[in-house]
Amino acid sequence: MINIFLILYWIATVLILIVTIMVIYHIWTYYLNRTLAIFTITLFLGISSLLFLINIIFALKVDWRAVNFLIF
Amino acid sequence: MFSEKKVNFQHRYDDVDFKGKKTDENVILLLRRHWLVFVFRFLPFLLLIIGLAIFHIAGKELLKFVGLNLDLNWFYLIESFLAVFVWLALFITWINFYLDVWIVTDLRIVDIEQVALFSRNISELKHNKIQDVTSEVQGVIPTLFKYGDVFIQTAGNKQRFTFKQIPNPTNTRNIIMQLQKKAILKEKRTEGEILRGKA
Repeated sequence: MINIFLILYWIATVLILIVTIMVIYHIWTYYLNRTLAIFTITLFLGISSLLFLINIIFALKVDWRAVNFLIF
Repeated sequence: MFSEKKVNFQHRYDDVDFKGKKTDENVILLLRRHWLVFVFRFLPFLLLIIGLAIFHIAGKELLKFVGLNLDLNWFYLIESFLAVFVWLALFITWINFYLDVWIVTDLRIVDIEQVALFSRNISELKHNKIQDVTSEVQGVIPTLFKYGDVFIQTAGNKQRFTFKQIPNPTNTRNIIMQLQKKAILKEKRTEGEILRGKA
């Protein structure tokens, strides 16, 4: 059985991770000051992981079968 | 009519390091867009954050009012997804703003432009190739906050350099003009030495 909502959730998660990695890569490579780059990455990753953690907690709590009108 | 203000180059950026920087090269100016430009870019995100807060406070009541019996966990999942997207978009906007840099050194001008997350342009220009420098401040807000554009016309039919929305464009123009004069003088001296057979 394929749950379309679960697939959409995974696609969004992978996209978020790719963009997060790209943002960190840009900051690390192109910032002209190393200390400032580390500070920015810490701030970005800190809040991103907090938001992502909240997201995962609710994704685990959600009853994916409840949206069974879109299960193939 | 306009007296050219002498600018001292004492404010050096010793900790600034960019790809291709020569060992004997000193950074004189490091320019980014004015902070107000970022504030204007940040405004839509502020509205989104306010929207998210309203959605968090009044969303549940609204769903009840509409008659949608949605599980609260679904509601929080959607909300946290929106928060992650807003945070990512905000940071991409910050990167596009912060990585747009114009570096004026004692040897050349380096223009680094971050067009988008996957699009980056880097070009450089030697001071002796500069023909004309123009500063432009247009509009009420740029006049009040003293920011504007500086256009650098190069020799030949090359594209002109543009420093966009930088603070103190007149001062920057003066500094570039002084550096250009120095570079041309140095070039002439070297030519003279070659002609006299000293070099």
